[in-house]
Amino acid sequence: MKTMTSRWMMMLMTAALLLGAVGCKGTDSRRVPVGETTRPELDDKRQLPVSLAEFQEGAANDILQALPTVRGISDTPERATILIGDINNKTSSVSTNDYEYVVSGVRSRLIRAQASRDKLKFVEARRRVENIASKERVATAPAPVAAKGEEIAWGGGSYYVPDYDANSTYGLFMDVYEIRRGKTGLYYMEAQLVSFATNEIVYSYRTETKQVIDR
Amino acid sequence: MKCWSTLAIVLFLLSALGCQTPQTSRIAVDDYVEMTAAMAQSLRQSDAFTRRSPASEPWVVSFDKVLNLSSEIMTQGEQWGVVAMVRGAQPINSLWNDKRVAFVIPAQYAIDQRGTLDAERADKGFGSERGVTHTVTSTFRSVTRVGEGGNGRTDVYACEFQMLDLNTNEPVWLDTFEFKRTATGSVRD
Repeated sequence: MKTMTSRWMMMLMTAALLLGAVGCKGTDSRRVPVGETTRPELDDKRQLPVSLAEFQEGAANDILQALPTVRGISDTPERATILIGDINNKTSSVSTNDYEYVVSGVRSRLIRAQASRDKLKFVEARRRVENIASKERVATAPAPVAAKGEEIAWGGGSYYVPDYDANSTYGLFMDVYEIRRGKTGLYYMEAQLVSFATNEIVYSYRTETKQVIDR
Repeated sequence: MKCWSTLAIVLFLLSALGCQTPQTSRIAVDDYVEMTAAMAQSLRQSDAFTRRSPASEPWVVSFDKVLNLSSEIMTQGEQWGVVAMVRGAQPINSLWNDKRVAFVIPAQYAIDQRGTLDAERADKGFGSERGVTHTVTSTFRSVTRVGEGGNGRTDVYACEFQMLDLNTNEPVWLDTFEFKRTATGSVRD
């Protein structure tokens, strides 16, 4: 009986030591490079974050290269105003939040790029600026000449939101489609610059990525 | 002998329980510290600031709390704290003397300090005398992916900061701090 107990005790002690030394390495929490693809990402059937990041970079670089030839933007002296438009998310699994991350990344890269500063002017959404202006009690009196735009009245004053000339204003839109067959998914992503004056697509960048879940 | 047996059992249980400790892919404190330091430096070195001189038209800048569109849970205190850390890293005096940039407290703080709601009702324009010309906003976004059977999780965080000209709606400075956190095993999020 005593030998039996000793054997059990030895086994428990060994198991405890093994768990302590090896077992806990099964769990981990850490920061990894943004370009690294992790196991949970590979196991998830949704689009890989690295594909989204590649699209961000690809679209921003392509727009910068195409700027000298985009009709309506290249042939006008003033800067084109760019508004962030809607995301047409026709995937069955990926959240629109994920594509907002993509569009904001494209916008961010373009704003920071020296090459776009003479040609593009990005503006914040009217509603958000109105809210800030109202909260911060910004009462901007319009200059007599530039007195166009909509007057937003609030408690203690008023604020002028500038109007944008439709002829030089463009929306940055994004379309995403997904075709899924079992473990295979095909994602079609497209970024477009659309003229507010004519609704014409003056520029587009698209990629197709196929993703297979390997489990 | 009994004592040794008990010790063995306790050791085993502790080890086993230890392995079940849930992991997380939430934003860590160090991420915030690194992010705010990087963004403060980026703002200080931005074209918007470097082009300015003591002769420039004054800028009056307020900060807004983080607009959190990520899966991360942030308290109001954290949302204000992040922007305060970016503002706090700026050398306030030299910014005014060298660049004609002044920071003001958010209007809501001013109204709160003034007193009651009645006071605000009586003077709805209170706060406008601050003459805010720019505001610094930040938006946090994330992309989340979860492992098989909820085992493991990865979050890509994109934290965008911008200084917005309130007259033109145009950002005069913008930068993004992006990082990825991953957790394997039993995940708590």
